[in-house]
Amino acid sequence: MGRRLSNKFDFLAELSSHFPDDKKPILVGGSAVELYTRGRATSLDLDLIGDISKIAPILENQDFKREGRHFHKGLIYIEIPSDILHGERSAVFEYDGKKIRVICVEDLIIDRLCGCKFWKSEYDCEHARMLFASYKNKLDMGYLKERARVEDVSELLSFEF
Amino acid sequence: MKPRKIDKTDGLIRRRPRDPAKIKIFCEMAVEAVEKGVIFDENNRIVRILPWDDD
Repeated sequence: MGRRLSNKFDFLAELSSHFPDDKKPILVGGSAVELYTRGRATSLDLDLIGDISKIAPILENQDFKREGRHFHKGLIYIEIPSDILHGERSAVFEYDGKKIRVICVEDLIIDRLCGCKFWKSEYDCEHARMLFASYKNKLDMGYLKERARVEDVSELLSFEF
Repeated sequence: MKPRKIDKTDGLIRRRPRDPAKIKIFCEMAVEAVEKGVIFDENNRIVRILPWDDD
């Protein structure tokens, strides 16, 4: 399989290898959707939750330019908007032989549904549908419904395919 | 509800949802991609996501 060396997920896997599992930066947002759909949805930036004081030196040693919580180098753009998730779950699994940490599919669906409902973002509506279609037989439905209730998006969970 | 920043798509000229048929195809493409390259354990937890190119 031909692989692009500039692949942002290859970079994420390499970055994650600097941290133990419970301290790895957590991939969230559109690039998490891209990963979970294996590229069928796409996003430009990598949004990471993690300790910026620990991540920044690694990025800066690799010639990333920093502007506050934003880092960029070539085609890779990284934002570190927060250092913790606010109650959401994350999962650690393997990508390209290295472990990475990603917000769980259920919470990512809820995040997208919030964008769909409260931001009126069609892009987020589509992402939610793609994730739900792809993982519907694997989801923790009890958790998904509870999170939807808490975030006031339950009415959007009735996807039709 | 946590406060959320302004939607990047606000104010753009797209005002109608995309064709539902198109979204259905996107979903089918994603389903196929996950079937091909996401490995689960017996508890439906993801163990591995395989890199993709044009699969």
